[in-house]
Amino acid sequence: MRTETPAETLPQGRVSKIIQVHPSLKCNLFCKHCYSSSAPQYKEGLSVKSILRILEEGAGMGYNVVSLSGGEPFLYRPLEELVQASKALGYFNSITTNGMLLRSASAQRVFRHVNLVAISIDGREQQHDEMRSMPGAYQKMMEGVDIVKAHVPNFGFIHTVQPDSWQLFPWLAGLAVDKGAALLHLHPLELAGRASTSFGNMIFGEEALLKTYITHYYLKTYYEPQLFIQLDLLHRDHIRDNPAFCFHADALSACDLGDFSCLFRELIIDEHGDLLPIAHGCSKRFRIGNIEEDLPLVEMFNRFAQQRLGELMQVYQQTYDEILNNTEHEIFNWAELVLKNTFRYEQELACAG
Amino acid sequence: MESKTAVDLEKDLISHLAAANMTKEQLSELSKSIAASVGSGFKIVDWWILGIPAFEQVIIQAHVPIAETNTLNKLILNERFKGIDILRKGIPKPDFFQVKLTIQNIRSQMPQV
Repeated sequence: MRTETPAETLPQGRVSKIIQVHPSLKCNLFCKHCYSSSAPQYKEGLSVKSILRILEEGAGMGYNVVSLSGGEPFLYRPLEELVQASKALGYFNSITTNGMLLRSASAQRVFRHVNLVAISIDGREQQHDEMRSMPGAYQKMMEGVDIVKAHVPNFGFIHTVQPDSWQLFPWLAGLAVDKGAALLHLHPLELAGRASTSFGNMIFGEEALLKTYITHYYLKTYYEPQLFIQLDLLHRDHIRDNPAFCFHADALSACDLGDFSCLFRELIIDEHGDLLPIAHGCSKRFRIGNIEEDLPLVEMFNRFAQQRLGELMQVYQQTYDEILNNTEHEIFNWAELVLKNTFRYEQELACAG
Repeated sequence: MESKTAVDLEKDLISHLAAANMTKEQLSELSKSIAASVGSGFKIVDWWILGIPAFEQVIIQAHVPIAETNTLNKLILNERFKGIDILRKGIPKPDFFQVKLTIQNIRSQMPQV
């Protein structure tokens, strides 16, 4: 196993405050596990001018990472303009891609302004192609990996975790290291969008979650710092002992209420241009604003603080309590639970009203 | 650090987590220990999973900065860790503790064959 100096995956010495942008749901693939139901038939993308307006104001408020997803970002026509301007604003640019559309000259111009590329991988060749509903997708993605390696300082792999995926983690980590990747991001399957149709009955049993959690830490020990491995699952004891991480009410005192990039370290711009806290797909009741709205970002935040922040705090508290009182499970996907609870909160309000 | 290839790691994990038929309680015990180690501000530098095919004992070796004596207190008070060896390390000046934790109660939970 190599023990070289770790590659830089995120801005050193800075807390990452991310604006995640989904400029379009247009995609060259029709993946079974897609939470946003991205597909080839989508055409319209968001106005680059409107996105840049938000990025410019966001930079002044402390946001420092732009994470582009989709859809397939390399199908978004003004991608080069977007990343170039974002870079000029001082952002660390990250793109999540299926890695299949990287041969073009325009894609390679985009790389000049990108710090990190995360390439989706679903498993070994057959599994990957089946999940992507496209024979040859794996081979083409691997060609993309070589192109990225030649043009971008850092790259990584992102894997959608299913209940038995933990058995695949050692292979994934080994592949990532062999290819020179700096990051392996393990994100549990979300039963939203097309994934809810394809995997509607799939359940992460507690045993599978525990094995996923153990395997992830076992591999972290052997591969970090050369390869940073991130799993989007937390142990209940960790949540209990770190309420600040989960934005528990007690942690608010540590955060300046006027500093939204501190309160919402991740801000999402979805395919409709809506600005959302938490994650893509949360209830629109918690919409902060829209990129086309004729209102400065800071005023959208102030409006949100007056109208919805208290409600969102209740959702966070409810999620935190739910996890601590859950005697059946001990491994949780915090963001997914909060997201579900935004809808539950909305339903409860509707029932009460 | 012990040198292991991806294939070695895969074999270890499959034999311990898939073939050993560990119960949910055993997996839970191990997960709680990991959460406690990580939550204590540990930098885990090595693991040894002992016992074939199932866990009998897990030894975690980790580093704790010398200023973090509170972390050591927490570990000593945590009943989950049955054995704790602490060595002061660092050349020329000691700047971290090397801590070896042994989680042994997994063995007592093994199903009787």
